Amino acid sequence: MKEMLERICQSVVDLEIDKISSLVQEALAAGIHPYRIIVDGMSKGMEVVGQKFSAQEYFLSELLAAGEVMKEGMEVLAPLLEGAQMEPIGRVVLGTVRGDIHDIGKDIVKMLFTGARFEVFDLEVDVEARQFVEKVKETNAHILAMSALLTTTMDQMRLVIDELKQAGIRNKVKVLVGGAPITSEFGKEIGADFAAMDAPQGVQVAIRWMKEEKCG
Amino acid sequence: MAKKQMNTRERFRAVMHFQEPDRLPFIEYVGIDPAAYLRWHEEGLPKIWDIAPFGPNNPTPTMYASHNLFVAGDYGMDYASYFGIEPVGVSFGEVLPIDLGPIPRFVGEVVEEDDRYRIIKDEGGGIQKVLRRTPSSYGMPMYIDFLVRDQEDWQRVKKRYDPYDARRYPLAWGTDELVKYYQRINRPVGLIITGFYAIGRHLMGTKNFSPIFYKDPMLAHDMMDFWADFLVESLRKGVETLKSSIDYIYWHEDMSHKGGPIISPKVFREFMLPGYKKVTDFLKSNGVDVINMDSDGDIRLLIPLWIEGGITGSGPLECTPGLDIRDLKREYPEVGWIGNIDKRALVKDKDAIKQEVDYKVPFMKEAGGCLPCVDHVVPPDVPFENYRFYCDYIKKFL
Repeated sequence: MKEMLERICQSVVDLEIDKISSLVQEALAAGIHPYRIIVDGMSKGMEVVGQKFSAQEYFLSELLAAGEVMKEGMEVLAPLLEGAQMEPIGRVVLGTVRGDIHDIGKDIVKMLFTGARFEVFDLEVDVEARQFVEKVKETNAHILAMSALLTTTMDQMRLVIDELKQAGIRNKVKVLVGGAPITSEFGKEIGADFAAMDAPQGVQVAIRWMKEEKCG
Repeated sequence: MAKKQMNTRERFRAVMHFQEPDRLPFIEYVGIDPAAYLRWHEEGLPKIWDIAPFGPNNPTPTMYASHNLFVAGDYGMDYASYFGIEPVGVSFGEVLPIDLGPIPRFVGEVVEEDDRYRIIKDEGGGIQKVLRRTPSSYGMPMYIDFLVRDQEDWQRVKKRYDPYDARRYPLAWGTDELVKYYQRINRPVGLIITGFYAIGRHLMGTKNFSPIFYKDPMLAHDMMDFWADFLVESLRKGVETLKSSIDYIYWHEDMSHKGGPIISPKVFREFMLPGYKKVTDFLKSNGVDVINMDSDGDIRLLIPLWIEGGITGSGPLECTPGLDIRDLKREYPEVGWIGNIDKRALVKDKDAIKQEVDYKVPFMKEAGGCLPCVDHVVPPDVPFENYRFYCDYIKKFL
């Protein structure tokens, strides 16, 4: 069983889009529970992919290819998980800020959060401050992740943080910001908890927060 | 003895060939966002043109050549004179009207709209969502659908990229008058090329194209090989006629983001490098020897591969990812570098502008082979007063 899960993990790392389905099917046939295949196989593989990205061994093309491997594997597993309770490691509200309709970075973050077994509430793009705040309240999210591509829209993040404060929930949610113009200095200036320089870094920080139970 | 005064073309040629110009030209290589002009009108800029919101946002990269003339005419030239910007680059420069887009074009149309958004089928065949009431060309629209999803789509789309289609050139192409025009004008003549990553992204989208090298390597190879042949054959007539009268290639790729390359050096080497060599060998064998890469983001890991592929220069060297002309020049003295003046300094204040110009421009002038300018389009959050100050201040050092 361990060997099979390691092989699945490795298949994600090796970006074997055409092989993962049959490996997952083999694991199922051997009696391995779908949940274990995800947690101890595919998600672990994605973690390694994220590390390789941070070490500049992998790049965006490899990250997206790994996402394709995950998608292929999940197509086999998803029907078997319907109705089953799979406890997420945390809840994330995600979106691109008002006035900005760029979705590529946001979607990569979403893919990595999903791969890391977060429950993701994606508000898509051009999201108003009050929409972020309402969704955080509604879902009791641990993390609010915002993206902006433009220098002209990044100040919207400050508005969202102000609205969180006004709603009295700033200390209940961690705020993660990212996007092309975002720097650590800007993150500090607006009062975000972390300004991610790339998608894997943001998700790794979120995982660490959940492990340290610093959220909520 | 006083230096002979040069025109912009002579000046540009001298810098890009590592020779001494009379002075550096004052340029905005990528341009100024139309939304900045709108803001500046409110802040004292004389209204030279009515700046209308762009229609379908962002021309598809393959249509830059034809679109660019429109941009320069409507948005660029007179404002350029006002600020003293010299005619170089993608917005303000002279660009050869060779059409590298799909022929026939797709019919551009508004598919759906409401008060805030418009969903558009663009002339390149993609479906994009744009915010209404924004004149900004800054950034990108949200792409919803693309022309190519698989081999079958690709085989169909290829037919619109016939390099020998007569419509790729103006009717007057090849006449003595036109050749003389390009030989004699005092502005550098640029040729915009859609690169290998750019065409893939345009046809398939970033999220679909970037992993294709793993998902369907045969399709990726076919697209890259086809594009190399397409570029050489469609440009042949223009390049073989004008030869070294083409002062530079503006090779559009945008293959990096803030954190590094979008595609790995390994993927670049296997899938793109052969095509680069084929196209740059063809250009250089015809005397076109300034081949400038246009890519935003952190480009550092790709530079050695670009050089190997025949690229000779690069811009706009964005500062946000940490690019610094001093480091780049030290590591790659043989490359022509363009840009690297931090747009965020222009947003900030006059002291920040002074500090940025003082730190970089005298160095660039002394080092040679460098053209300082803002590190992408001048964005709309730059106040008019700051931009005017920047123009006056940088000119003291050129």
